[in-house]
Amino acid sequence: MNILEVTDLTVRFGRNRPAVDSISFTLGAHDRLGIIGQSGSGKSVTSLAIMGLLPEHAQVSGSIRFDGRELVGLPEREYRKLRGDAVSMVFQEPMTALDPTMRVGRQLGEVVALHHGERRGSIRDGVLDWLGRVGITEPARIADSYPHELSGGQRQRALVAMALANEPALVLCDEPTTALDVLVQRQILRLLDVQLRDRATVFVSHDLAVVREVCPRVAVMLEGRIVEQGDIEQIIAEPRHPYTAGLIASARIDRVPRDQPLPSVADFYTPAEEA
Amino acid sequence: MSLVELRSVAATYRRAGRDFVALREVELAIEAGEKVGVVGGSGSGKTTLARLMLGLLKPSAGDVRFQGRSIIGLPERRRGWLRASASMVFQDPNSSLNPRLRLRHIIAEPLLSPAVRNRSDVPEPGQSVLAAAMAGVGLDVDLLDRFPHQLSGGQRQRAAIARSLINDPALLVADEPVSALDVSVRAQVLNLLSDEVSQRGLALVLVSHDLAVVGRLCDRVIVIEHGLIVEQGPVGQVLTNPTHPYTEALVEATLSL
Amino acid sequence: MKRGTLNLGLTLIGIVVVLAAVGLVWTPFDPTKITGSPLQPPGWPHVLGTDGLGADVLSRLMSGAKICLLVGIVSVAGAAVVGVPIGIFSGMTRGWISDLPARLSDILYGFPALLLAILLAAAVGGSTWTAMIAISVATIPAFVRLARAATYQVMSHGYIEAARVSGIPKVAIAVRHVLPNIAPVLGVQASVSFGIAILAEAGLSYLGLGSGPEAPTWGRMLREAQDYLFNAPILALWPGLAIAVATMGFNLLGDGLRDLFDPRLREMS
Repeated sequence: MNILEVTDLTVRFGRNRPAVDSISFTLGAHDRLGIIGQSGSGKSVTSLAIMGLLPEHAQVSGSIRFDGRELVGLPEREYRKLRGDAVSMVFQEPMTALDPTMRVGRQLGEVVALHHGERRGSIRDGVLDWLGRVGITEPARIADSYPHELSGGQRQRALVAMALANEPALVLCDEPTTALDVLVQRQILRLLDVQLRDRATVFVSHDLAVVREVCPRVAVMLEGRIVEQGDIEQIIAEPRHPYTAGLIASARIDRVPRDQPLPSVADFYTPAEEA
Repeated sequence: MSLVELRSVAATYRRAGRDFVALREVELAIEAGEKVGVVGGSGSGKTTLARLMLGLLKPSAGDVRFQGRSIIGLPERRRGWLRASASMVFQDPNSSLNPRLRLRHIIAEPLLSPAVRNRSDVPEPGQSVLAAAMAGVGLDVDLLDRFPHQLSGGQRQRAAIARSLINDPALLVADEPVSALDVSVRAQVLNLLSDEVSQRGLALVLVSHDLAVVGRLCDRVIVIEHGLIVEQGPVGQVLTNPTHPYTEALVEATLSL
Repeated sequence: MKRGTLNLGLTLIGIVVVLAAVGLVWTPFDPTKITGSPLQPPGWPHVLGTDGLGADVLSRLMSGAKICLLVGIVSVAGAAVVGVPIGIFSGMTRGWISDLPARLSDILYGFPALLLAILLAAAVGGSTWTAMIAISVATIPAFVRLARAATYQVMSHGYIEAARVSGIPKVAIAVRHVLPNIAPVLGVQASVSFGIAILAEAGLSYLGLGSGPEAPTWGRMLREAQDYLFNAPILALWPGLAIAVATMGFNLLGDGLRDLFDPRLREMS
């Protein structure tokens, strides 16, 4: 049974070309789907639409069914309940996603309290437990720190803890490692790989190599549409859409001899209106 | 004489009331036309190193020399020779281009500095110079009258590169020049940087945590961890046969398709 | 869409500006002369009636609008011309020399603008000019603080470092890069300060510390109306309404501009 069914989802801002154009995909309860595309491809708008975080003037049509329930047109009050409980999100930039004026432990505590509302005394324990689970070595010290006192990796771990503390059934990750260096990126990807077990995940990124570390399945978005989706290894081995082929070729920087120019996406695929 | 020399350079900075050591005892010489990659994780000190070379930060100890002359302890107006011959490309073109200026004013900026105007070989920032600068980085001349927010990410970084090259520098410092860009435009910007640096015979200091990018553009690589140079050598050797565990970790963590 | 606040503010300010502009060339009667019997109710030819001495209320209101805008423009412009460069300098430099003007403004900022203006006006004596200078001085700290904070933020952007690498002198960086990028917030501040200045001027002339008897300001009209509060309460209504409209107009304009310039709101559209 699918936990998320997106059918013909279209998102428009004003009279422009739709930002998301009639896309459909499904996600089983323990599935992970990567959505890749460049900026403006509609991948982030898609995740915001699922989270109900689009600005008011966005026109949304089609259907997003989560756990059998229609999310398109859901009132904000209902959505807020859902976001605190069954659906959560890991953002790209932990510095803006965390409140700079609040200690990390208190921010995480608010999420923990939502879930363990009945046993108030154990909130601190819950916070320390979660910080430990996301691989923070000194949970007590980190809990009492402000976000700016943490390293980028620690902040992102704290953010992962906040996204998971309410035990959501669906987690959306929006470029969760883009702001990190390769060493920390590797750690966070491993952490996500472990912590997202038994949950459904949508993982949005512009980097196919990153998505491959976490998701067995990928959808490639271009100009608001999904141009191909399927098994990620198969798509990397045999891309069907020229854009995907270009994306893969241009990412293989290390395979091109120094005296030859790197292939770029434009060598494979030219957008229709610019041609 | 080396183009850039760092002699026993140390740097500390204060944050939240505590002193942090960003660099310790760094010895480094970069020759004219040499392409050097500076590699490390975030907080390793690699960005501090780049900023020291351009006098954007002061070292707490040691000496920084450019073309044989120390840049330390000089007021800005006496650093003309450095300003006229060294440029920088920043990570995030959203932040490095003034949102309120048109491209023609952004790109021409280095030609406005008193230091550059004193150099006889530098042209006036006229239309033909700007058009050539735009063409050089593969941008349409019509874009000169646009504002940065009217361009794509890749176009913005090309504009930033055009600005960095317009005063015909001897040294180009690039701090993560492609890591804020989509994978789909990264390759084009790397090709551009590689072509320009080779054709002009520029010295390049490329700061990056992305070994593939460094491997593509640089001849020599310096690996820096906690403010110390832990390994350096020819790029092929260091990236394929790393000897220091930190370098090994970096190589191992690099994702490829 | 979200321009409602801005448009309402502009409309209210528009009313005051039209009153003042017409008053500059024509008023129904001489605002400083007795042109009818005292305390006439609104009617014809005195549209808004006459005051306790028999001067035409509408004419005095129009003349007051002129003074109110003059005081607002001069005092806000004066405060900005002094405060903004100090704030930018302070935001661009580090160390004690940077902190000094900021700390001084913090202390000054603690005083309400009106109180400071009263002190200054009381010390030098009341006139339109002392009111303007007093209000201007009292407004400087707001501009210093804001310009400094905004400059601080701008200084963290890459284009400042790029300009430094290019060897652009400090003053040129301030003019080319800092000022245009902090101008929106300064505009908001100017609008809000304008509202406060109008209120302060009204307060000063109400207390008799503003313009002399030859200049019918709204504050003075309000004070004069106080004597007839029981026989002709409507006399207090007109200047009160005028002050409210002008102050609210500039405050709404400030809020509207803030919304307009807020990058988070702008990005959404």
